Amino acid sequence: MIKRMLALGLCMVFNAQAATLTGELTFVKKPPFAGILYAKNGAGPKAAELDQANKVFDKKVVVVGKNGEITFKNSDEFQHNIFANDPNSGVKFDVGLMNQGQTTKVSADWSENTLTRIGCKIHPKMRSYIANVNSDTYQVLPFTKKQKTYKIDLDAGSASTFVLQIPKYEPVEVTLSPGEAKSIEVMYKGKLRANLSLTLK
Amino acid sequence: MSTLRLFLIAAFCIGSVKVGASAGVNIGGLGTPDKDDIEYPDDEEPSEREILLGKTLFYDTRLSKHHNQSCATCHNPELGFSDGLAKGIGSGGDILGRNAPHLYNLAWSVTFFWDGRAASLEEQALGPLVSDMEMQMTPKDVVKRLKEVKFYRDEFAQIYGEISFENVGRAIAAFERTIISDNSPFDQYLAGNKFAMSPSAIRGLSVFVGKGRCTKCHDGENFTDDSFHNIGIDNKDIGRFELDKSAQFKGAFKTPGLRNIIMSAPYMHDGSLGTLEEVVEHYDKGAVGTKNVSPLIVPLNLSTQEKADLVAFMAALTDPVVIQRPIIPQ
Repeated sequence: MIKRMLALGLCMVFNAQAATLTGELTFVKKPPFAGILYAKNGAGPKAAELDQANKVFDKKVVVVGKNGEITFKNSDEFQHNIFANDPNSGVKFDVGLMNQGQTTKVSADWSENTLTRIGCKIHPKMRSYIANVNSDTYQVLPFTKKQKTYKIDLDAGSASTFVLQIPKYEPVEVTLSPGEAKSIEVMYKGKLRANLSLTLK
Repeated sequence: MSTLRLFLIAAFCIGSVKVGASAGVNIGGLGTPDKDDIEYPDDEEPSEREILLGKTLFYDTRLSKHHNQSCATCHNPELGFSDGLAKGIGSGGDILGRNAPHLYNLAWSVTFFWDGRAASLEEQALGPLVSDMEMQMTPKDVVKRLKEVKFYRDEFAQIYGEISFENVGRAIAAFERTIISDNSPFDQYLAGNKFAMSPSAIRGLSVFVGKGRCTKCHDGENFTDDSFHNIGIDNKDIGRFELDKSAQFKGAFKTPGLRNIIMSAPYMHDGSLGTLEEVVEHYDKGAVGTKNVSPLIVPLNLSTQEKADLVAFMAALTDPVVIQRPIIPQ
């Protein structure tokens, strides 16, 4: 009997660990710049890195946990000056001028579960986002203008609540039981912008 | 071999040459702008009605204190959306501080005015209206004058719900985003027509992306990095530094896009250079000895032929935007 209970328990643990979140995010019109879908569990990465080359950031979204450290690099032949002044997350910083080969670090000591826009003071077209999330399970969604539908495929572990964040959009939070599927409307300023369908297997 | 087969082989070869017309040149990130990349406010494209309202406002002299200027006075479509002057003239006759920049392809831009003080086209559109030197209005006066006109009352009510100063900016910006130039000889060349540019312009493209170092700043589909550089025009104007006290912004100004640039002389933020030939000469010298000049500006040692080729290439960026003047409501 004890052996059977142990086996059942192990099986349950295995099942909880093996949960997968799948689905699709489909935009009604042109997609925005980027987004992130994450599970509400864990602490998030302690460190992350973002590089610059050819006047672009190498990631559309860099993910870090609360008080995690972001290393900014400049591999470009041009000088850059990364800064944040995002009224939505309330984050402000300015790392100063960076020459080729220089690195600098910033601690994400601001409110967690926020998306903060960063840019370069010298090259205003450059942009990226810092996702400061309490999550070890996430999927960055680097959207492109020509593609309206994006697959969701996340190793969900034991998580049951998930959040979709897209800059300026209203965040979407979904709680799913194992085997459950849900469809959610993603809104921006009260207008439907995308449909999110999720299944927890 | 049959005649038909020979014909097919020949046709294939010709087709291949056309497709590969620009394949031999590394064009360093230059290209033809894609309308799908335009980011509209709230991701909403303007309606034709909103664009027509903006165009009417753009040409309406009611928006200046003395009823003598519209946006089109300094940004005249027939003068390359500039005014042909080194520095513009305000509604009260004042000489303005800087050259009137052209308006081509601002739909893709992210920062506006020579010093980048506006972060949106909507904000930029309203700036000259309330400038003490330019159109010398107040937001209240603008709204009051527009409310006196039935056309504006009706159109603003239909499109935005009301006449407001902010909505004037939205309408003008909606029109300005339609000022698009994307079918120049250079674009046709990129699309595969190897005869679209002259041999001199093709050589000029190589100089532009290579020895001339032009793409260090004039890159991308609209030939601008939207950045700010001190290019060695030595005058008292501190430019971007007025807004941001970082040392690199002393005397730095926004890189203008180069589409239709041959139509919008004179050049530089102070209009001090009358021709593209003078501009090329300026960069060739490298602004040696000028304070705070960007490290990107260095002597180029271009030959006379290379200078001429550069100008020929810039001329190949020409695709005029013809605007039919609207009827101004009385």
